[in-house]
Amino acid sequence: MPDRRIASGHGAEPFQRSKRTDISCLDGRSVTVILRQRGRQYVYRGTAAFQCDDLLGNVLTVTAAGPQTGDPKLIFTEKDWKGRIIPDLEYGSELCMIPSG
Amino acid sequence: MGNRQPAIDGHILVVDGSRMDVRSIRQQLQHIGCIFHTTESHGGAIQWLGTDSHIKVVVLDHGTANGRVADFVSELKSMRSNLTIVGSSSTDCRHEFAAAGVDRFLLKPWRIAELLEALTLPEPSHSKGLAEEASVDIHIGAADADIHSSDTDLDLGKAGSSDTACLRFDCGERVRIADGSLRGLKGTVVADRTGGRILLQLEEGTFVEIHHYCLEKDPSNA
Repeated sequence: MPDRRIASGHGAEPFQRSKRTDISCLDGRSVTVILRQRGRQYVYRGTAAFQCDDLLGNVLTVTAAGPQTGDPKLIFTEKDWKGRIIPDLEYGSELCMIPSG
Repeated sequence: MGNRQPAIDGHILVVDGSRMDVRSIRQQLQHIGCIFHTTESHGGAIQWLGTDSHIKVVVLDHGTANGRVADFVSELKSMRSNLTIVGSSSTDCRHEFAAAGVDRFLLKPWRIAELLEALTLPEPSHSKGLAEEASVDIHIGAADADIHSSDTDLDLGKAGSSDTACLRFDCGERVRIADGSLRGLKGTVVADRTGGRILLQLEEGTFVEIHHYCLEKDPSNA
């Protein structure tokens, strides 16, 4: 279970846009995740936390602020992240995460 | 395990304040592959009904209703009109349940076959208006009529306050999120987490952890 918080060292720094972003810099940020699967888009807003998961290793978890059916939590592994992170100009959070898949 | 069809199509909520009884019921429901939650309080029952839209059956212990069976039943029915409620008690208080519109009653200790039998009864006529949409599909073939409710060697562990059990999904199985904001997403089961939660992989490096009751097997299995 992801229960051990790791100090990322990036939490209070302003977000730096770059081609390849270390997702640990999103720790504590409000984010909107835009998932696309089979032509359909899913938008999920929440707060990111960089943690160590016993099974997956270093991960960024995104948890919705309010109650949601099934209490879903999105998890991105640090070593596999290949998506984009861009400023959120549309959904009301600080940043948008767009996985590459 | 993952491909076994559960004996009852729909989720079960067991409302019972007795840890010993819950332990027994847990084992029996697990044995027939049902997805179920247990809670020992009125508030827990209301919370589960508000959370899991797939609950079709409530097994309600008389003692947990704390002398307010009719009010409790009425509240449950107001939340979910198509709910099938089965009364349960160690003393024969079937008349009190019947007065509350619950004609299905199990005298403790009961066996899973008795629950399945109770669920095949037609809805009582006086509650037909509320229960006319009720439909609980029973797959008798999965039941084991020789299971007894007197097992004493199980870990009391999580059966105390509120718990969920899931026997439906195996690691590597393709599933689909069937409820909530991520409804429609498909993934592969990676692991069981605690508290009835399942870890799914959506794609390389992207996962979702969600309560099992929001999941269903992916019919396309793609």
